[in-house]
Amino acid sequence: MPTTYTVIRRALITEKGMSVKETEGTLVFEVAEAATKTEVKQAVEALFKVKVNSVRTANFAGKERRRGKFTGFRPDWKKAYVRLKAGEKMPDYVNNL
Amino acid sequence: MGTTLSIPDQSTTDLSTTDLNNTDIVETPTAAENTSAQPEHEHDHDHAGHDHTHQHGPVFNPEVTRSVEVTIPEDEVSRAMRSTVKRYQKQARIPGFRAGKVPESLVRARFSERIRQEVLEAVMPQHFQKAITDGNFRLVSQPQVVDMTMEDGKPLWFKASFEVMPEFSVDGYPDVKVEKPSAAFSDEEFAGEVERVRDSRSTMEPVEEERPLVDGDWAQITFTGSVQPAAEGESAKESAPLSGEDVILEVGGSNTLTAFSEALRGATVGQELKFEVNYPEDFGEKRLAGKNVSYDVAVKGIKRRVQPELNDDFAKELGDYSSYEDFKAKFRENLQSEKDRRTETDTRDRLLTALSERFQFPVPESMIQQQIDARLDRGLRSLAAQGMREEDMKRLDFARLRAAQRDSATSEVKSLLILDRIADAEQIGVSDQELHQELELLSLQLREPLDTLQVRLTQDGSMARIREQIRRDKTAKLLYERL
Repeated sequence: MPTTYTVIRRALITEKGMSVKETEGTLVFEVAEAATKTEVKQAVEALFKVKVNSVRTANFAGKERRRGKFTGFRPDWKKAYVRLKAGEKMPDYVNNL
Repeated sequence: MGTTLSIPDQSTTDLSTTDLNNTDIVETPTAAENTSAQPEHEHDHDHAGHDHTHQHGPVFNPEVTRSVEVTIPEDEVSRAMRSTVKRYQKQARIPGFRAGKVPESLVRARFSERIRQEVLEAVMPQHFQKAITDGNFRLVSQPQVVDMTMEDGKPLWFKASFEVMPEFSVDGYPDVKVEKPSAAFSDEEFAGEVERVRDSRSTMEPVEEERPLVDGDWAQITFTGSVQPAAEGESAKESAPLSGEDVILEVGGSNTLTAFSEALRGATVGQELKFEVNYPEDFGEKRLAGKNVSYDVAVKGIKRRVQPELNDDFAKELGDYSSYEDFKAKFRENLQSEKDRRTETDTRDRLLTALSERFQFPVPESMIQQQIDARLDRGLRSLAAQGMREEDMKRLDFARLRAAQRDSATSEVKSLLILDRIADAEQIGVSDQELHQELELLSLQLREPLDTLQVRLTQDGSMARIREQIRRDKTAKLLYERL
């Protein structure tokens, strides 16, 4: 059973993240690749004490990184958009998830 | 979480506010976001280059410490806050945001410490200055903020302490007198000085005639001496026989052991002598102190010290003098001016001590510390000039050194304050011409061209200090002349 903190890696505090937070009542996180939408939902509810409406996820392939002649990749990761129920107060991200 | 911040260098904090960094600032979060996870507070002032002792500010002398409480209206604080945040917003680079697109709330949270600092720096000095002017305080120290509250939507309140110029009067200073020794240079003293020069120019001439040694002769001897008794447990080195070849010593001279003088007196060249010397317990050389040494001495020659004749040739040899009379006149003049100078500094010192005793007042601690700094600085520089390496210097016990300097620093500060007061009373000023002269002298000493020196000193504020220094010097001179 994955715990809250293994599911949610960190909050994504970006321009897009801030804008959807304001317009759609949606929080954005980087989550564990193996995490399911349900797990993310439970984790966010536990962490911020809010009700979650829906979760959308997206998988990202890590970008290629070169170090001299060696190529490598950044780790793949999963992003989750967590829409809160209407009327829920938007929590502040705490930077150190 | 790593954040890359590229904010232009804000490290130029002016002196009147640097102390804010050193005082405990009550933690009052400026924004709701500011609950945790601050980017690490980065000390934006430079610690290198100056020592850490005055980081915490000196402990003030309570007798001359005053404090002011200042309240700054809320709208002024928030105005400063807004403009600072705006500026940060423009410059902040935070991953995930394009430059200049970072939301205000995030900027406030991220840089709250720095913003707060800047706001304080923007609003405090001005208000503090006003409070000082209103209260008519003459500050002699950097102010220290001792207490402060800063909350959103409330006026900023702070309390700052500082030392002020002690109040004291120098009434009756003309009555403080010290003895002024006669600076005249007597003929006997002069003759003594000439004799000394003559001695330093004297040569050793062998005495050819065969005669016994008399007092004043220099005996050239070869000797061996065995230490007796060799005390138990002494190493071979310690009991090794003494020996010397072609040693020259003065019979009856003050640097010669009496036993040697007595043994040698009357001896002739080629004669061999045997005698014992009982060294006193407190003899300078440990190895011989309290020991009995039997010496075998062979007299190899007699020498006499020959002093040069006091004539024109002697004068020419000494330097660029045309005749002996010329030398005498110039030599005397030199000696006289040197003595004058010595008398003057000495008398001035004593006068200042007398004044300090007469006028008692509390001395501001910050001035003492400054004086200690100056003294240490001078000391270290001379150590460096003597070739002390920097690593060795760092190993010095600075706390002890400072403590040792304290008394003299205190009395220096005291005399300096008294002199300032007397200068006020005497209405002594420093003309531009006098300042110029001093600068010319300084430029020669420092081997720095006059104009660059002038620019530099004006910039670092030393010009005012030099002016003060000249003023004090003039005052002390005046007092000296009146004695």
